[in-house]
Amino acid sequence: MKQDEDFNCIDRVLNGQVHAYAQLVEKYQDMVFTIVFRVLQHQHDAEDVAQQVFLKAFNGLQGFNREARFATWLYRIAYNTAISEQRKSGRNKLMKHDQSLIEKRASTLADEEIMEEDESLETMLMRALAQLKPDENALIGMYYTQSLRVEEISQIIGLSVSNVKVKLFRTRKKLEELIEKMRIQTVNR
Amino acid sequence: MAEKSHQDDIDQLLRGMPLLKAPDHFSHLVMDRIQLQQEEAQRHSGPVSIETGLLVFSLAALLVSLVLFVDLGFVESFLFRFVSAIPTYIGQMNTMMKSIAGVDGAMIQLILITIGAVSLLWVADKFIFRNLRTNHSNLYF
Repeated sequence: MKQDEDFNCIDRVLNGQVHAYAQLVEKYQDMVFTIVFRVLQHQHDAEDVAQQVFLKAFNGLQGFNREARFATWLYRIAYNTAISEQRKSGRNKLMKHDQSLIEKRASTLADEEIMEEDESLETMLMRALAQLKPDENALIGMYYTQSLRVEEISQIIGLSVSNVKVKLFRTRKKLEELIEKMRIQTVNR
Repeated sequence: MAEKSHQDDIDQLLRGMPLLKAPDHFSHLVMDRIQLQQEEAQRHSGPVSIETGLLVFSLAALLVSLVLFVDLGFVESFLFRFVSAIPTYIGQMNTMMKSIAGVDGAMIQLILITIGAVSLLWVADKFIFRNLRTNHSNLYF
């Protein structure tokens, strides 16, 4: 049903109703921005590249053959554009963990003791995420935050399903090891 | 057991992380960029655009320069072997050029080649490479 809505929108855009594209932008802007930000880890760059992604998608709408979901096609453009931008700029800045995000998460926890413990785990998790490679960070985001299926992720990042599973497993292991290291450092302080 | 619960905690935290919010007015900014791009495309389109005119002119200039530059004997024997009128015409034109320029026509040839080359480069950048740049998203799927 959702896919039909997207295709309907695309048809309208291709028939000259350019303003219909705004609906698609509004629908997918957060997802695209999240993918791009996870790769670039820089707010302003991510904003600019996310705009470029929608511009590219607009220019390529005629070439979209509708074999895949529009979202999958769009995320693939987002991922590829972000990765190539990241390679170009050679930037891999440490992601500053989003304090408001942590606070939001923490406020949902009732028990104060549990809250303290989870807050520190969450902080460590954010720091560990910042140490991942851009493609690993994006992969974690697509699978966990955006709840995309492995099959869809494989189409987006251009790897086979089994390769995506292996990569996910290794990245998760890496995250756990990074958090474990941080824990040991905290205890030793 | 504790390690498993630790992994589950991490999984839960990862799943609980919200999507990042795109900046305010993001869709407006995108639509503005699309509008700008379309306006620019309209400026470059039309029955005969500046680029098309320049392309035709530069090709003609290059052709004339090439014909004048190349030794007429070579042109006669290879290119216009079967068309006797053309080499005669080219010969006349070359003579005319020489008489106008008074410096063996070389300066005119040089100017024509320069104009042609610069125009071609400009057209290639504006017309061909721009299209390649904007359309390369077609490569996906």
